[in-house]
Amino acid sequence: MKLTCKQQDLARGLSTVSHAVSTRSTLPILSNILLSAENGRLRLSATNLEIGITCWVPANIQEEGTTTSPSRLLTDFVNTLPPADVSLALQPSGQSLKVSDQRSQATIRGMEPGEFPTIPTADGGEPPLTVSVSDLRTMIGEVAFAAATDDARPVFTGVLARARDGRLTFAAADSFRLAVRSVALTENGAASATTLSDMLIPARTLSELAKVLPDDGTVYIVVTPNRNQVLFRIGDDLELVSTLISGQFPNYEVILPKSRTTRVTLPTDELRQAAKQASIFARDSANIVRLKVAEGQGDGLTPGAVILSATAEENGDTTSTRDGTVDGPGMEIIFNVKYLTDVLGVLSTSSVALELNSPQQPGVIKPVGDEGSDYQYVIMPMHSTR
Amino acid sequence: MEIPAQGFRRVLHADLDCFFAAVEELDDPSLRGKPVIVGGDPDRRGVVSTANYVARRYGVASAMAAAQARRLCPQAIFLRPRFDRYRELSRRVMAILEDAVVALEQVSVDEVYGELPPGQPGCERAETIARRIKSRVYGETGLVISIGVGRNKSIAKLASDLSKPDGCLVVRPGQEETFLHPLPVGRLNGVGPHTRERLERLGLLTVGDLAARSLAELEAVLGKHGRWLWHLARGEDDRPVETEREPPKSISHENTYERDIADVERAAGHVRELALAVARRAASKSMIGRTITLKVKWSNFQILTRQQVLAAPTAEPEMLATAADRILRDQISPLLGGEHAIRLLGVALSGLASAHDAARTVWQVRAGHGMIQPSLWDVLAVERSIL
Repeated sequence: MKLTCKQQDLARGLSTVSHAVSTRSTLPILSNILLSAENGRLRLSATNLEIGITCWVPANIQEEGTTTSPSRLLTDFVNTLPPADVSLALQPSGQSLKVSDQRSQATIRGMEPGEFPTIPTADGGEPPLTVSVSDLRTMIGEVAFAAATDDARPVFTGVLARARDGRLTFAAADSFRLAVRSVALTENGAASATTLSDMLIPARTLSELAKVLPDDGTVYIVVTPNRNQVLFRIGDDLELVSTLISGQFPNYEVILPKSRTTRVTLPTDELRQAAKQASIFARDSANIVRLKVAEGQGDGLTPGAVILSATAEENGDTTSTRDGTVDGPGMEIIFNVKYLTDVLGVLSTSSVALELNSPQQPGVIKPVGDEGSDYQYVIMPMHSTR
Repeated sequence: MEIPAQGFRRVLHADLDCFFAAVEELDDPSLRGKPVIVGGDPDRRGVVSTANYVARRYGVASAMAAAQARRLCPQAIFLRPRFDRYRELSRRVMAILEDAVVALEQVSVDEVYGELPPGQPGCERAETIARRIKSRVYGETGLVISIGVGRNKSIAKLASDLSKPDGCLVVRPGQEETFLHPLPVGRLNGVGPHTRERLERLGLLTVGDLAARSLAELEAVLGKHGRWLWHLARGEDDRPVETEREPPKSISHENTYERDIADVERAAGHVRELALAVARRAASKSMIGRTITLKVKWSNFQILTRQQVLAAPTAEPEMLATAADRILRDQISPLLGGEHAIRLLGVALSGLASAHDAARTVWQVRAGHGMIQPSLWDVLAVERSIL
């Protein structure tokens, strides 16, 4: 294996695949990156057996070949090189890779490429779903955070992806909240009617995917024929493969409130700031925040409001009042404020609506003014033990 | 009285006297002779678990509000229960009983049924066995146990109850009526204050009064329950001594439908109802389960069961309903139609564990600070709160 490529391209490629490098694995090969000089490009791959990332770097190949190299050492060294041509050459004996530019050179000892796990491809899988990078990024940002981070219930560590009637829907939940968002699927720019059976993608995978997504372009999503892995192909130089979670995501549609008694609309910033203030006082008291929706006065001069209050045991309390447009009777409800700050941290519209039915029933947060967004975030309130 | 070839059934009922209070007196002899009440905090709506005989003289009884007990007997010594210690002594007592009986059914920490070897000519007398148990229990633990023996569970229990304290009463074959008939009806297992009042209004004051009526009369007044009481009053009770009193292995609901079901959507509606009923029962028992089973009996009476192992134990209604629905659609629905119509549907939850052992998987958590955070997936809780 012998090739030359640009330092910037190589550094970007290594940084991308290193998201999948296993940091604490009992398999030493997983801390290596697989390098393959083939078909006029340098292919870089890394996997932690849950996620695998492959990316292709433009290169001038003098001799095809394959090896593996320790990820940290190679990446850190390449990052110190100036933006100019870099040469990679596999030494004739062993798996020593010589990395050099005009002034520096290093020899990095790697491992047999035959030991590197095969990263699956989606050949023969179901027809791909096509979605724009920006839509996918928004979906991940607005949904994946709601997944559970502990493994007590594996299905809740995943994001349900459902393609039906030309739309791709993501849903993620834990025991107490649920986030749902869908976007139109496209096919060569036109609407697509692709329907696929549901898949449960680990939320971790989607967070990693969001980190390596380019600024724009198209993402093809393919399920492997054995249906236990999903592959995201972005452009022609990046692929991310992930295992899927097996299990049945509960029927979330039953949870979505079908009605509302009270709706309050206010600027997202205002609610975010009020929630933040309340969360500071609530953090030592189980994140308990009382949210009161107050009706406006009939005179039209006194607006409705949202009043958030929290008490820090022994250390005082806080009350934040923010004006809002209230439709329906006033109501008081208790939330874990973390579930509010989480969602307010990812919404980008200028206004949000909070819809309530009763102090015991789930509340819903929806973005306001975002054309075409059907985002819903459902939170189960707390109540006193009585 | 004629002796059947296989001998008489001899059932024993044993009950430790004022068990919790007795353990406290045992461990702290200075309590002896003083009124001792074990139970909850009288300042915090606690309830009396056990009162010793000194406290009972003041009218203190089990299940009474601790605050009321304190009003009745202000000088009483109130103690919080020490369940680990009680369980330890209970195990020792049960081991002694185990030696004496052929089958043992532990009802609670201080109460047990035992099946003695059948009564035959030449066998060891029940009274001898009972006395030996009592003396071993006292000698090895310092505790007093009351024992009743009779032809069945109900007579044995009445005998031990009536013999307390430090009792030993054997109701011999043929003496059942003499023993039972003078007792007030309220003594019978299953006659609470409400039933007693109804019986007394009918002039049925004693067990004998009850036994003298016809079965039809009692059934007319009390239905199925009347039949049960009529048999008890006549000394008839064929409940076995159940050796294994383990927690249930599964929680299930099933229903046979008047008209066979050939339509998957109709079946889905029923499956959902059954799954929610299972969830409700699991919640009432504080159990969670790992495996959900769907049972189908076809119109030709063939039975098919299919199950799914859930990713983690749960009793959340929506999780169970979704899993059951999935089995129906994936595995049953393709078979539906033609000659295959559904006669019966059942949903069961197995692989059970106590919800308290798996706090993280419960359908609600105590958030602390007097708050409960219910699960979003417990739609029943939501429904309940609307009602």
